Amino acid sequence: MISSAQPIIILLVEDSPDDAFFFRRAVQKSGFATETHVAADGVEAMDYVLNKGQFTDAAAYPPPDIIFLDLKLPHCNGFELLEWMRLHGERPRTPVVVLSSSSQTEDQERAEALGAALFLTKPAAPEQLRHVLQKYPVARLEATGRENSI
Amino acid sequence: MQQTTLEPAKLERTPPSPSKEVVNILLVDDQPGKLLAHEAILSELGQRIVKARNGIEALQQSLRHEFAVILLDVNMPNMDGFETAALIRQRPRYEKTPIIFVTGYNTTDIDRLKGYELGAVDYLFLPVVPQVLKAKVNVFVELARQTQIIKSQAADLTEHNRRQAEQLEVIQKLNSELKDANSELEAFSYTASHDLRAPLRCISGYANVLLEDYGSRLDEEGRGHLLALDRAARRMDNLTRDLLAYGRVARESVTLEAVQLHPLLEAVISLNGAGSTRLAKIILEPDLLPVMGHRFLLEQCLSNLINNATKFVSAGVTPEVRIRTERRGSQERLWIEDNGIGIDAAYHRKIFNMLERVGDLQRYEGTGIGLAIVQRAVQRMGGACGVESAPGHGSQFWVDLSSVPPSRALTHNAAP
Repeated sequence: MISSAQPIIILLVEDSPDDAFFFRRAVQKSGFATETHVAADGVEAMDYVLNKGQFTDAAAYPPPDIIFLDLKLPHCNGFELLEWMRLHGERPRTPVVVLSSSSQTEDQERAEALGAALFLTKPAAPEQLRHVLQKYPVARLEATGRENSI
Repeated sequence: MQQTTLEPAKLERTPPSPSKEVVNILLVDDQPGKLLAHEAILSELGQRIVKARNGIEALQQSLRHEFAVILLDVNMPNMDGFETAALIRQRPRYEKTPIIFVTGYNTTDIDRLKGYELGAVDYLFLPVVPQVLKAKVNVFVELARQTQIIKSQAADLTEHNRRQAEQLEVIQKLNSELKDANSELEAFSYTASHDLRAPLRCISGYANVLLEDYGSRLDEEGRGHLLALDRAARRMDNLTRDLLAYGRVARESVTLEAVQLHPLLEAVISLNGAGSTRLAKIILEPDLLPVMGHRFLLEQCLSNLINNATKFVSAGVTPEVRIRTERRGSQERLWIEDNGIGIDAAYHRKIFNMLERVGDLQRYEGTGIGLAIVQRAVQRMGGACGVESAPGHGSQFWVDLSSVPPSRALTHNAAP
């Protein structure tokens, strides 16, 4: 069991409750202490990041260390959200990992061009998530001075 | 004799029916003997000869038929040749019809000038020399026949053009319909690849959750059912994925570009990471040659070949795949070599067929579409593919694609 002093804050942008369930399960198995918040579409994700709407309580909805993003979402899809984050995101940027249903490389290229750190196909396996959680939130944890004991 | 030898050659040159090419000749003379004599000479030309004994008859005939040439006696009672010619010329249809005046040697120059004013094309002097008469008339017969052929060809051409324009219109309409259908299909395919597969992922996912969390409360048979459920959902998911990929490979519009294989292969391997590829040892030779290919088609092709190379391995053996290129003339041969179970020579062609799963390969999970995708993708890039293999000796799949010509600057498709 790998543990960190403070849980890694994850924002999962996912409209399917089933996929959210599988994701939580895989994250649990990854061995990291995590706290996962779910936004059901792109607009909710923006609200979360800005602490607006249902996410005004900044203590209950802390800024994420890493974002996992589904591409096919109602209202505002994953690409649009990536675009928005590129324009509105804070510095240093929160790493975004795309979770897509299909491994179409155009989608991957487009997501990466828009600043996605990584592209994974669903379902994400616990070992994949372990690798990701080990690698990506580090920059932010260091920048915010939080200890990351792995 | 000369005439008859010329005829067949002309018929060969002009495909329209020979009957269409027979033209009319009008002979006008008040002396029946001369008419008969001229008719006898000209009959050798094989054309239809119409006779008139005076100007009135000539005018009447000119109403009924169209003539290639008119042979007109100048010296006739009542209405002479010049008067007849003037009247014939009044009809628009006869404005340009060649008229040959037949006249005696005593014709003065004034008379001749008069003839030319009336559009005479030639003169024949009495007594007529048969060869000269035949030759002069024949010139105009040929002219008329050629004109007729050209006219009919022009009509054919007009008709042809009209039909072609019609066909073009139909093709353009079909094309735009096809484009619409294609973009609909594209949208469908995108939706299908996401939405059709999501429930299958769910079935499979929950079957695994049940196995993991509740498996201990089930007996062996119950756990077996859950495994079967998971297998079926996965198979359906793979089939959906492969059929959609095959469809896209078949309809993708293809423009070839220089492709660097290293970044492409790395992307493919990392995306394949969930299956058997994850445990495999994949060796990419450092000096892979670039090829003329299409990004998506190459990805489909390589991902299926690598997936196969790591899949069909005996139990307990770590899959090992080596990827290298070899220059062959103006082509590069890409080799994907594995340490798998190998394939009997009898199946080397068959395995590339759609939904064909043969021999020992049937014991492994698969859709039977992968190599059909490979073959189709390679064909669409103008290449070829095949396999060298024997049971127990691994398989060496190859793909031939055009080399990158030195003039083509390489596009770097390295992943960022």
